[in-house]
Amino acid sequence: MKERVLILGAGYAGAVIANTLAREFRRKIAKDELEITVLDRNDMGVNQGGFTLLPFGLYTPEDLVRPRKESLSPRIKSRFGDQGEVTDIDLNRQQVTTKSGTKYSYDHLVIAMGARPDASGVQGLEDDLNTFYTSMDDALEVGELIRNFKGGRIVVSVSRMPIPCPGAPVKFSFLLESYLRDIRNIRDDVQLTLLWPMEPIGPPEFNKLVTGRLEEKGIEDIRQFQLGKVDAANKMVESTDGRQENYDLLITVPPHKPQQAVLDSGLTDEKGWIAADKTTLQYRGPVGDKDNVYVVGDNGPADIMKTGIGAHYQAQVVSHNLINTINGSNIKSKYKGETGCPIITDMASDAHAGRAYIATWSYNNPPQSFDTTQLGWYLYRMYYYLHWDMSIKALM
Amino acid sequence: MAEDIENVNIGMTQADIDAFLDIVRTARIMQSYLNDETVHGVANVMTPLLKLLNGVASTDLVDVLERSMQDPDMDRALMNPPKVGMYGALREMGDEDFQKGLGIAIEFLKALGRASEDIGD
Repeated sequence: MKERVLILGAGYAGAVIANTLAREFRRKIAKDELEITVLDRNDMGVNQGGFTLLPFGLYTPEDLVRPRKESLSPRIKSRFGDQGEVTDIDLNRQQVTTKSGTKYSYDHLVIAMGARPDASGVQGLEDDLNTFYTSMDDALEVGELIRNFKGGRIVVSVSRMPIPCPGAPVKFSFLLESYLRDIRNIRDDVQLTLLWPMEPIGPPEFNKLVTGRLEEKGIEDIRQFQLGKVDAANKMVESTDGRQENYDLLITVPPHKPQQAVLDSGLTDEKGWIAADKTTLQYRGPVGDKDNVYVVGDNGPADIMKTGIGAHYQAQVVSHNLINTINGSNIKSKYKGETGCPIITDMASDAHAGRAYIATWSYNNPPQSFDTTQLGWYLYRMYYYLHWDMSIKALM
Repeated sequence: MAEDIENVNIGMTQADIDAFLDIVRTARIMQSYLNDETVHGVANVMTPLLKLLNGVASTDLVDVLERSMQDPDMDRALMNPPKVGMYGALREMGDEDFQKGLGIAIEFLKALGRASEDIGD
């Protein structure tokens, strides 16, 4: 009987797993012994990591999108649009339903549907929502706003955690500072403030580096500021504990939550995300323990950091374990919490070299002391051009 | 804490340090050469290479090619290419290995056609 692997979501994690399995099981697929199906509502892949750099013209929209059928192996059955939009996930019946009404059953399921922004989660935020987190168009719109900003106070607010790529707003703040200083030459006319919802920004050494650089660059940072309310008429934000800050331009990272189908299917825990074992990534939520269901990427548990680097490592572990299971071995590879955050402290300009670094860590191994480097900037810049053909195709 | 740092003799000599500095200083040539545009250019060259690498890593054709390129008949043909005319080609049509090779070639041609539809959009 044909074995069926069903992958929900063709984003970073889903695509890496699909392409890895398609390569590994090419003979089984050719002999019709195995089928890999990927469901996603969008037929275009978007590299969301690049949104942070898009407002500064460091990439173009064309650099950050790729038709999914070009990045998924032709050995994979892919369904997009209504045929790919998941509306129900029934883990007990081992069945997934899409908007078109088609039902897909599976032997092995991977849930990699990402997270979605929810601006309605903060009172008044939708009245003044400028964000580089939600879409290509929104990121380009932020670019327009900062290109035309005349002076005053720009507030970058991270509403609350968890969000995908939690280091991105810090990176954005440093890029914005460089941009206003070296490109627009209006740095002296702008007060820059970062509102951060927690006390530390990342692990201790990461926090140490960014705290020092924020101070050095005159970027005010206010910690423990969970966004409670936006008063667009008076251009004021208020934290959940009642502190108020005014602004001339507000750039926000809205709260995030899982896809509606995940919520409607009752897969999430009390923290609002899909519960899974932190090392095996197998489903361990309210529906029960499901060893044949893997949870990867941004829709995963709240205590696994939502980063592209983490999604990649998770995808490798899940791929390996699916390969072992399908081949009949019970050997399990474990996710050790490998994750990371590319940090940029300076944007390249005619006045300054760009500087960046990719800090990495795992569950019990925080990053060592580090600093950003010039080559780090170029490596990072180059990476997004290679993302599609290197990472998504699971070559590295 | 500085007092917690233990100095370890790793046996590095002046020559090792000179070699290390030489590598670091050479890396500066690359660092100075790069800018955002050269990085984009390098990436543009690497992209098709990665596509080829993906193709090579994802097919049994490489295994078939590896063996066929080492086939003794192939060695002999390369040393002394046989002259095959129209009638010779027709005669080979009855050979089972020829038929399999032709079958693979035809499937490859059809796959090229399908792939061109995917990429052509």
